[in-house]
Amino acid sequence: MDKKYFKTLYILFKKELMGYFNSPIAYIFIGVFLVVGNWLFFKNFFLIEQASLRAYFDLLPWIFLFISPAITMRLWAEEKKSGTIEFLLTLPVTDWQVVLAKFLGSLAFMFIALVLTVTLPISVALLGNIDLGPVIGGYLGALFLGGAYLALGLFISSITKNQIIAFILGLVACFIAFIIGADFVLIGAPQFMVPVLKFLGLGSHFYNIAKGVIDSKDIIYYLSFIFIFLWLNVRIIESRGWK
Amino acid sequence: MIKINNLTKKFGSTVVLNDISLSVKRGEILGFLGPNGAGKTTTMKIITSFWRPTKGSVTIDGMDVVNDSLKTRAKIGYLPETVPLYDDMRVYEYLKFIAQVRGIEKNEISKRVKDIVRACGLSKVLLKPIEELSKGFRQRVGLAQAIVHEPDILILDEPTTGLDPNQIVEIRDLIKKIGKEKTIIFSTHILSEVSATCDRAVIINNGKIVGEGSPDELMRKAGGKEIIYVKIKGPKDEIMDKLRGMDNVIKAEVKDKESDNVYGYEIAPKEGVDLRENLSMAVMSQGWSILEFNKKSVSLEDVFRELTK
Repeated sequence: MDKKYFKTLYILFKKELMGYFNSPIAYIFIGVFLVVGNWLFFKNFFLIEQASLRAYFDLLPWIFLFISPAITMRLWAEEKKSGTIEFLLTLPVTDWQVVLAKFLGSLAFMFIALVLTVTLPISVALLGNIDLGPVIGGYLGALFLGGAYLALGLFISSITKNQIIAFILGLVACFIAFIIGADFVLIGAPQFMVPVLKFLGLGSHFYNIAKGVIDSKDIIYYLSFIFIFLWLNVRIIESRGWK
Repeated sequence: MIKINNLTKKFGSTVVLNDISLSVKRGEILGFLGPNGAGKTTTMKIITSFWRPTKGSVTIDGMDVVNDSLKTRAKIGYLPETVPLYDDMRVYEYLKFIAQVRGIEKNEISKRVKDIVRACGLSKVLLKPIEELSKGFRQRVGLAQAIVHEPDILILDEPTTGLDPNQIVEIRDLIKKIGKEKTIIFSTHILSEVSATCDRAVIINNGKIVGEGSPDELMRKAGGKEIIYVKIKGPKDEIMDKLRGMDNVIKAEVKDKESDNVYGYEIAPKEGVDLRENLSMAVMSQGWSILEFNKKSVSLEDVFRELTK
């Protein structure tokens, strides 16, 4: 882990991030994300008459559910389909560097999309007194949740050659991971499983952070979730087991 | 420089490479020949650390391509068969990216890229997205990408497939030019390419090495026989008697007929004997005339077909 390691990582990361903006898809993507988020939020905002972003952050996990696998679906699938993976993995770079670069690139892209939503808290703040705690918590939680979705989606992309399959499987996997700790699932689950499921679900941790309660438990949970799927991803790449 | 020791690769129960051993010296251009599916690409993918060997090992300057793969990969420039490139990048952007990942010093990058662009004739397409390039230019970008870090070793997997004859000559010249200082392994199934560029050729079939040596050596091994073809104007039967009666002639036969008294004959001399002078004198002394004279030697194609049957 020397300076050169991070330099190479940075070069790969930059290439991944630029990769989004080399095609018009990135702009369409961000556009759709902003329009859908704003529209769904403001549709009810004036009815509720509360200067709070709570509704937005309730919505965000569901928007992310579709956005994240769409971001990650091509990352490995396309490399495999076009064969560039062969060339990428014969460069003097480690599998971890490549996986991390792809993950951080997608996270940075999501971060950019999130930054562009600051118009929301700004306009809400102009209309009334806004409590900053939950807003900051909401964004932080969104970043962690997004990271978890992206790590999972990236892993799914590494096991298939087909982008559409990567998208659908990614969507399903993210949905399951998110929903697993939700109340209506817990009702039907056996009693002893409830705390386990509640802990495992991506959703409950998100709502904790989004309330403005930043607990190390939730952060550690997200970081471990991300790490596990990146690690699995590296294993898949190492084994070249997609053939 | 490159040592392949008892290399075996299996995919499931299919054996793709079966106990191959081979070594390549520094500065050598090695042609890797074989029909499709013989194991050429697999060998190259193992040398470049893309796949792991099932058994056996490959070392580069004594470093193992599995255990020391970061170091060996840094020494190699690789052009895969399908020339996979990042289609949405522009040529310049792409080459710069490779130069950076390859760890070339920042202040040297633009000079290095410029040199490579000149060497590979890419200046016209520098700002074009790669997806818009013709096949020939793609191949050149692929080659440029492989040599940008001045590697000791170049692995080129069928670098000339799908190119038109002019482009083939260009790429071949480029390989020769680069090859003066570097060790090159390149695979092909175009045989003239091997005699045109290689110091040594290895023929591989069904995952085994079936022939090895310089192109000339290979041809000698495959038969060593040459055949003389003459077209003579004169009475056929008398000529045949005369030819068969000559010293050092193993076989003579009528090959084809041009007109009533003009026939083509094929003569196989004893090994190592140059029959041409005696033959022409014998024919002339009888008052017949020679209309055509040809020495046919065994081509690399014949060797290839013989060995990979």
